[in-house]
Amino acid sequence: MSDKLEEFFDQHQKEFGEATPDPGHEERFAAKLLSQEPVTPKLLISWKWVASVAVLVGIGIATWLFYPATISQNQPIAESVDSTMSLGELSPEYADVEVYYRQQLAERMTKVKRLDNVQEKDMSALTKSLDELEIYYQSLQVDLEAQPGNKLIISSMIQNYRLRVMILEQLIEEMEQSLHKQSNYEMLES
Amino acid sequence: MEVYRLYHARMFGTALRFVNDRQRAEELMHDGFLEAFRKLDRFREESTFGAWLKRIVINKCLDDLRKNAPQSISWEEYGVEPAAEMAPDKWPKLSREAVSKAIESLPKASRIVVSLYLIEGFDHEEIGSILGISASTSRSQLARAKNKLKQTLNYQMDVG
Repeated sequence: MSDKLEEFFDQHQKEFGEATPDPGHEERFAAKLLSQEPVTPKLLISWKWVASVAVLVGIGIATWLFYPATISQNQPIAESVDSTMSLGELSPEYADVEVYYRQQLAERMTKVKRLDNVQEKDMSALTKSLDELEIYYQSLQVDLEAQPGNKLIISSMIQNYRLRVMILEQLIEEMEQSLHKQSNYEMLES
Repeated sequence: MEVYRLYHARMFGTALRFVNDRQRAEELMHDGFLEAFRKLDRFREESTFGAWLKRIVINKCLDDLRKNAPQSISWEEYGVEPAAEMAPDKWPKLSREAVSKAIESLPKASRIVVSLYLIEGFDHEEIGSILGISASTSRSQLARAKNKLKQTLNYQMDVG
């Protein structure tokens, strides 16, 4: 027999899972964040990291590197606007980093598109967040052109990519969790 | 702040269920975010960011509970009790508020296991590793908590 209590929790997952903090929580968090020691951008550019990227991305990256035309298709803004500088234009290592993140994003986008339980409002929220991050990224490219090699700008660009990956991950996680829960119940009931 | 906006409600919900105090829950949620941001370079692909952040917040809450009330959490195993059931006519009337109230009235250990299993979606092996108890202790805690919840809800509906 299925457990009605568990069913109830499953049906009300979101209401139980989420709660709204008291007003002003975001400002209080921002204040805490600013009072933190500045994080030294331990640049992900040590050879170890580059090596791990190479392992992770494997052959896929090689294809991209040997066919720059493929990259430019994926980076229209970076390539077409003169007053900006993309991460990849800094050095071959940063080009690897940029390709790596573009690849990560493309993989997750493909995954999201394959999920059939994404609601339209979630999809538009996702698109909006990704667009905002892209706009912010473009402004960082302008900054980088003015100050090439500025570690803070470089770090922000990498964080920007990471945020996009995380946002996609969260959606994928939520959708997969709800599918998983559903299949658990089907298993218990059978 | 994008990440904060995206995850704060879930993380606050999680922290609140552990510490039952809004102000403390907010502080613990904030600490969790700050730690996650500091350690971002340790985040690896084997878990999703949401799951990773949640583990950090949960650990903060457990540390806080251990620090402030170390004796109040008892993980001992309980024998299997006969399952309590609710009358079938009561299920449709069940409200989220009533269930939340019933969870709050549970002993701390049961409340934590219920939160991790029924709300956060961890399995008993994962709960065991988070809490440092065995999976079977987690199972018996859950069975006991569910019985208690059903009894409390029966009672609440009878008097309400």
